[in-house]
Amino acid sequence: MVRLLALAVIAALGLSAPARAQTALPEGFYGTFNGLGLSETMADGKVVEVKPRDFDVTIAKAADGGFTVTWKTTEYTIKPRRSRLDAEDEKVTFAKSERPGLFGEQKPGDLASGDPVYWARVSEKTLDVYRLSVGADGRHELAVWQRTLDGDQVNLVFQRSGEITRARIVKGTLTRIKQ
Amino acid sequence: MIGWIGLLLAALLPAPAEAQDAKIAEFAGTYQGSGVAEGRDNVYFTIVARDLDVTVKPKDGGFEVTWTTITQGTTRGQRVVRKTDTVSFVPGDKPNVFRAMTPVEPMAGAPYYWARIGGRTMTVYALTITASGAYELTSWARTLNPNGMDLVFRRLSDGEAVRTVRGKLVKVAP
Repeated sequence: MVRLLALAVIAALGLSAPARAQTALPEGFYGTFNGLGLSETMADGKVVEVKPRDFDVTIAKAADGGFTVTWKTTEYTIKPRRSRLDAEDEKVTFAKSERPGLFGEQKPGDLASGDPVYWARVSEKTLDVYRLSVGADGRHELAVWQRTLDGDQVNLVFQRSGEITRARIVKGTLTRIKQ
Repeated sequence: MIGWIGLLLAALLPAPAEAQDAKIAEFAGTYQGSGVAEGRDNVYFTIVARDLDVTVKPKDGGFEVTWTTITQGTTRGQRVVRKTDTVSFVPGDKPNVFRAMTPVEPMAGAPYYWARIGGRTMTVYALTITASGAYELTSWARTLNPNGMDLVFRRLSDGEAVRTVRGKLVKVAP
């Protein structure tokens, strides 16, 4: 009787079931994107260096509802007679975890041996990729790539913090170049 | 001639950092102390002696640490929760960096521990990935002093400092 009354109250108030947690990456994320942005390096709360950056990212489906993110960042240092390009490539395959919306590596890296640990979370149209790494002396660095889908564009916010390097914020926009 | 120059340089250059770092045996013992916690909620609370207790035991080339973690609810009136943990660390591939003997299951919500010794400080780190995917990074930096240890406990939540505890601990047992 109590259960029936409860059901009647729920129906009368129009209460719906809790929203289902997101378990998959939105289809719009799959493809290849490239774009430009600016990197701001901080020291004592102030911006001490600004550099332009190029971004390339490819997101592809992986087994069992997982996905692979491959990205390349090219940073331009522009100084008289000392200009240079620095490029960094990373590729990580994420597998579904037991927690909705969270994805991890099949086998997490060994931090104490210098391997980074990656994980990702999906929330509506935003994909956050986290990387924790530990330097040779055991101190850490945490990096987060937040990619938000907007049609055929991805807005990127990268943040780096920790004990090893200066804090850095990078913002940029990437456009789809391939499905 | 080159050999002599090499020897001279070796004598003049400082020893590698790890040679100057404290040995595990120097941290061994049981320590008690008190301190004050500061959070971003501007709620200050005093830590009683037992809350900062720590025991360090050398073990299998590494060490075992037993300590207490204090957590407080985010709203006033919520009770303080104390939890005691013991974690064993073994040497990693790099000098004075240690890996925990606990299972590595960060996606299941289990803390991912590592530790380092740098100078006179032993720092234990714990990364926890929360159910929402955010991270909590907790560190306990324990620096040897003539009477015991200085402790700095920090908890970051998605990069934001949420709790810092500074305390002094006295060695009460070897």
